Amino acid sequence: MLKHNKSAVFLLIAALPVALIGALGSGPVSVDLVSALAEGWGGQSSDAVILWQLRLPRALLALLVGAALGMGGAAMQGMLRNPLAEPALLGVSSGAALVAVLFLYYGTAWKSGWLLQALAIGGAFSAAAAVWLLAGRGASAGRLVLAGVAINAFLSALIALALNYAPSMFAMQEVVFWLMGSLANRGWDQLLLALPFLGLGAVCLFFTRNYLRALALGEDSAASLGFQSRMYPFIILLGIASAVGGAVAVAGTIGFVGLVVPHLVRPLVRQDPAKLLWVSALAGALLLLLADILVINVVGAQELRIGAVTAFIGAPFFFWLIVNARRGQWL
Amino acid sequence: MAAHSHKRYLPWWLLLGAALLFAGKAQAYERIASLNLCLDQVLLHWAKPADIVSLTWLSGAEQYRSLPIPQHVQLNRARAEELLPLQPDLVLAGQYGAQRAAQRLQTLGVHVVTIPDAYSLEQLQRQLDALEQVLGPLAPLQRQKRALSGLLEQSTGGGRPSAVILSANNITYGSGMLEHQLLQRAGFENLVSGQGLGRISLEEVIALRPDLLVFYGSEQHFALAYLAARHPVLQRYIDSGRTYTLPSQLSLCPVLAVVDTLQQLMDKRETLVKAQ
Amino acid sequence: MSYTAEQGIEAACIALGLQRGRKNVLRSVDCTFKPYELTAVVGPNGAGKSSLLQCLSGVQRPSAGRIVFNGEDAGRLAASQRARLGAFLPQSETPAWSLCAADMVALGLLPWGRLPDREQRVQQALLLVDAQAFAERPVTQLSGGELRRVQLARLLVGRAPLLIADEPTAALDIRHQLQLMQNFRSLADSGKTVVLALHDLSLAARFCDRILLMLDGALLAQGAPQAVLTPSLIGEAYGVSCEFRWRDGIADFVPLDLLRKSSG
Repeated sequence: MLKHNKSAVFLLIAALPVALIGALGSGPVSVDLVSALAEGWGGQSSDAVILWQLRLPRALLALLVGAALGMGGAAMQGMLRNPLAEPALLGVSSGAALVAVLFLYYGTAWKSGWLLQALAIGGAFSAAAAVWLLAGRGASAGRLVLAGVAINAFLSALIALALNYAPSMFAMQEVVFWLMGSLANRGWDQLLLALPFLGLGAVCLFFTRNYLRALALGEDSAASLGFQSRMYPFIILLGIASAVGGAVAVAGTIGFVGLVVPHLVRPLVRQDPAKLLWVSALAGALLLLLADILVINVVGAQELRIGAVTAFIGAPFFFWLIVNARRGQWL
Repeated sequence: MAAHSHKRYLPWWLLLGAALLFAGKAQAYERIASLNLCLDQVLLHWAKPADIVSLTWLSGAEQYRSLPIPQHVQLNRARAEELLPLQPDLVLAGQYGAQRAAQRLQTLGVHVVTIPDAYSLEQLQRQLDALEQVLGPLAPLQRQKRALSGLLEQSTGGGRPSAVILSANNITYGSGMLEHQLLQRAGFENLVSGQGLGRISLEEVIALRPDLLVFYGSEQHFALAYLAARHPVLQRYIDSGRTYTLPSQLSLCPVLAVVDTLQQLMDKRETLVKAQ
Repeated sequence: MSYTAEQGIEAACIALGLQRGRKNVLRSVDCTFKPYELTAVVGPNGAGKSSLLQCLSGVQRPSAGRIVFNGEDAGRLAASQRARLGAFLPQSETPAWSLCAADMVALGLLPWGRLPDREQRVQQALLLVDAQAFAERPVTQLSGGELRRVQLARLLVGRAPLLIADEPTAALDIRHQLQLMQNFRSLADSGKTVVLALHDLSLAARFCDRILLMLDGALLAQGAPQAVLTPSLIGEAYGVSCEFRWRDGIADFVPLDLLRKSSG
């Protein structure tokens, strides 16, 4: 059993470079990968420029955003002890998106990328904190999820409203970018902006991994095992906000990855909520990269938003969850 | 209610009828109204300010305002009820949009002239003719006409550098479009040869290796639509000065922008050819 | 701390009070739990048994009074250190994920980090509650009694000198109730301080050294079983008339009839 699980995780890791090569080979222009790779970073041929400046950053950004969403979803589910929890659910994603939208379309934040990232993370965190306050101290997971759904709906409406009144004439049609996410036309600059915040989120979650483990037994048991400080949920929320908020600011809200991925890989880590973080990050990265390859090859320049593709994958999974729940497994 | 308003407007009808009789003879209109953003701009640029009575509200909107609007000019939302009391002796309408108001005004006896839209050089010349016919021989209009035909007759020297247009949302312009014609006339070869509007990915831009990268419209406000144009992969074009930005006026009202744009493109070609 | 975790611990509650909302769920409780002692906390529903255990284990911060471990204020201990001194099993502990039984038991070792004998300890604890047969089964597929035994193994797997369990025998069949109480007895005999909230007065009388009888958040009586489990005290606390038959130190508790509750 254990060996089987380890080899599955190994397969996941091995699949990453394969998918990466697939992503580098996908695009509207056919590129000679080998010679473009051989030319290296500073290559001047169009093949090399396309590979190094366009495809590689986009593929890496897909990996990074997927990892952030997978990890954020795993942390959220662990913290709420609820398999339906997702960063988008607690309003974390839409909080980040709303702040990003406000500062991008109404302000000048886009001229300083770091500021935008920090603000988006602040938005993500305040949204989560608002849910926390609305649900009340020590709220049950059910109440928290209810509060999250309410806040999330409200924030999504605010995003649409903000874009409706934005001065740019393109703003209205871009609602869909923010609510469905997109990786189109992103480059190294966006990747470098999101990367440190994913790292910060991972560090936060690394520090709280044992709390997540203990929390599998419930709050009282976790407290009796030495995890009674209010700091733990705070640090987890900060970690989720940092990773997910950083990703949302550059790619919009991409749903379902945070929900589906932890479910898929939970058996691989023997349900351990701590190891789940890292394997979910891995699988989330892989899933989003595969979804992006699908977007590039099937839809082409007429971009279907990547969120639509992940929803295509996620919705049937939701059906499966419901059917499972009706069989009385674990909901 | 309807009958009541008809009665109220009766004196105006008579007045308008009389005005029309005069208008036929006098040619020079003194109370001109417009139902179309581009025609607003044409009037603002070329007509005597005192002759304008009403323009569309869009011309007052921040993102479209190119010239200050004179105090006495009323802004309309293309409703016949707004224009009637102003007693215009000429109402200019575009080919599309505000059709209902134009028809209504016409049935009420107002002199409405529809100016054809222009999406190509040929249509532009026809539009200029139509404008001249209705507005009379305005000096700036005739200057524009002369300048345009002068530029079109000019033959470009040897060497046809290549160009690609990358507009917001990865839109590009192929054959049949005014933007394509301007590139051709300025001596460029547009590498996107497809018909009409199309999409072009950054990868294709890079793979086509155009000598000149043409952006479209300045980005006053942020939009994801401009992400492609801000992508660092295009930095080399910006650094080496091999970019040109078509003015957004060219898409709003090409008749006003066409001469300047064509001249700038020709100059740009000149410098590119010299540099090679 | 001057003693190691393996040594005994004397835990004392001093004027302990706890407020939940406007209700005083604990009112000035004074009691002491000593090494080698198995103490049962009994009382009717809502008497404050769980609250007392929660305060003792550090899950609840008392609103008045304090908890003292070997003379030192337990409230000043670091959370991790306190967790190494006292282990606690709440009344209900539903695992959120379908961990397998052995992995759930191993969570009891979290306060100690990575122990070298981790695997053996888990197996030992499972053996202690007769749960080795379903060590690899997901806990969500266990019956209520089986799950309770796994939870007890989770409690016993660590090295804490103070063991606190809230109604550990609930949901267990009589064989496992007996086995469990014997285990707690021998743990107490080996020097641990054991505190259990119990509903079964016969079991409490038979296995425990001391009984704390609670009513309305306060201690009604404490002492040896024979002294506390008297018909008059039980009648006052529970509102039932009853009979205790003592045979060879084994108490047979028989509730007889409802008493008319005296108002106030």
